[in-house]
Amino acid sequence: MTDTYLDLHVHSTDGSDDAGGSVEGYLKWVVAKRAQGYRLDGFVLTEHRRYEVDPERDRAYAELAARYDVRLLRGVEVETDIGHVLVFGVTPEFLGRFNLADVGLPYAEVFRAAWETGGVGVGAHAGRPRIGVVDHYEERAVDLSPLRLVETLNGGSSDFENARGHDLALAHGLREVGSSDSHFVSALGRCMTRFEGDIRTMDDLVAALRDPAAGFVPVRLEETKPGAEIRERPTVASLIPSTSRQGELGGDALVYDRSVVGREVHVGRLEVTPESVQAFCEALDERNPLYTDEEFAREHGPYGGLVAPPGILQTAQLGQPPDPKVEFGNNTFMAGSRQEYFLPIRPGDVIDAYAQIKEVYEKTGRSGRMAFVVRRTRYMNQHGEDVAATETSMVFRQTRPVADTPAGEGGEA
Amino acid sequence: MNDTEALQDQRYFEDVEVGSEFEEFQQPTTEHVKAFMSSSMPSGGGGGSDRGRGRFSDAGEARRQGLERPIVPGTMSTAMITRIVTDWMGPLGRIVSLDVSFRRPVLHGDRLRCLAVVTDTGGDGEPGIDGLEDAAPGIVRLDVTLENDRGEQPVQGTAEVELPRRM
Repeated sequence: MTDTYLDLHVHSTDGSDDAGGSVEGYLKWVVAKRAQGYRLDGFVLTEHRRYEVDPERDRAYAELAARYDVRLLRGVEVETDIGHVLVFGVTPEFLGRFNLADVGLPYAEVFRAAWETGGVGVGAHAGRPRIGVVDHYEERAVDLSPLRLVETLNGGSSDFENARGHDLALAHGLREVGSSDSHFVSALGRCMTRFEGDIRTMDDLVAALRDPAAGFVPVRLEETKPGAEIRERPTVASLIPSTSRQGELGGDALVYDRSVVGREVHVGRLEVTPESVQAFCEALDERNPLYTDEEFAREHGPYGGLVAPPGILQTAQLGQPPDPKVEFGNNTFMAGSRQEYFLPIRPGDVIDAYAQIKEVYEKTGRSGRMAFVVRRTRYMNQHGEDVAATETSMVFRQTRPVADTPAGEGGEA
Repeated sequence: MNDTEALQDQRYFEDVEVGSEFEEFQQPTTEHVKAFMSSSMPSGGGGGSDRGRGRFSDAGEARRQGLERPIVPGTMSTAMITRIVTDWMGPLGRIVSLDVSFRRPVLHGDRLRCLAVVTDTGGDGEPGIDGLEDAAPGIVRLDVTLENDRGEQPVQGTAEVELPRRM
């Protein structure tokens, strides 16, 4: 009988704000992994908190999938009061019952509605703090009867977190699935589910997941090669326990000054000189001759002369855009950054920087609720052309001191 | 440096394959972090404050903030990620965009595998899809990752890079 290997939990740039992988990028990756001898038949896009009934998109995806000979299906990952839940077999009737953007949907109703409308729900990354069901079961003894399936092999979770989910499944007779939870192309297929039989459509997938007799198990990518064995999944007892979990930290309501969002101000000027380029290159041991060797840059470079390393923009002493005065949590961390380079920067350029608070938003993570502030800075040269733009995302959240016990697993972000 | 030397590490679009990997190792120590912080001038973060900068250098302050050890600043992790991209592409490559997402802290002394994986080579699946002439630079997408020896990937991102073609 044919087996089918499906990655059931994948995020793309088409619908998830924190993803970097495009749908076509994933499809090309499948082809590349197959060429290396792995089995990967397809994947399910499960964007965060959104699912559009869009025949046009389905057609476009079907066409793409056919071109690469990959099974490409769509579900959704929603956020409930016991953590995140994957829903497969999403119907207009299901969508009519909830506002998917709500980050605290009632879990029992979500599982029930999925089942009643012909689909099925799966408790995502079950062992992850806050956003998986295990924490909620251990802390509040939530009723597990609406759950039949949990994701206990998640490519974004640590071994410890996956073991917590596996333990819960063993103790309560829940079926287990595996998936990558990939946000980036090269993570696709890191974990998957192997189904006995041929799964080609969402109807096939839902039928298998709903059928108590259907055969499926979580697998890791390296276990899909011919002759490879599927190893036994570790339990918590078999792993060294972690001492550094942050646990329940709560967080206050997000309060900030909305009036400053989108207001762009001049925050600084950078004069790029041959000397400043030279000093920057020396400090960073940057040896690209395009920055310092005029003859090479003229002869071989794509710009007909010297250019400045893009990183020189980071040396500008910049002021702050208007402060949104976020009151949330007790600590801030850098959550991400984006740099875009549009035009070369040349010695002699005078670059003006303009910054704004682009957005302020909230979401839930392993340590509870978090608030994000995104600052965008635009760099314009003396000709009025934008040469680059950067975005920096800061996360505001609650942390508490580490106890004076020996360190176990690392911290968390 | 003569021209031949400068171009010997140049990577060309025609030579790049989806799935190929490039790695370097880094182990940022407290001394490295202090040197980085004194040479750069971080301007304080996105509308946030400078609160808690001691976590980058002081073990006690780090623990007060819930961290096992002092952490590497995000700007320094970004610099490490940028460096692997520029080392990979060679002098005539150009970074079009670089997105970096911080998922867990990078701790002082962590041994880091910096990994770049080619995930897309422009119009591979459909020739001409990117509208580029044959002579124009080719666009390559990379996933870039810092991986620690606890099996975590604290920093993940994507880069879009232009590479020259062999003429």
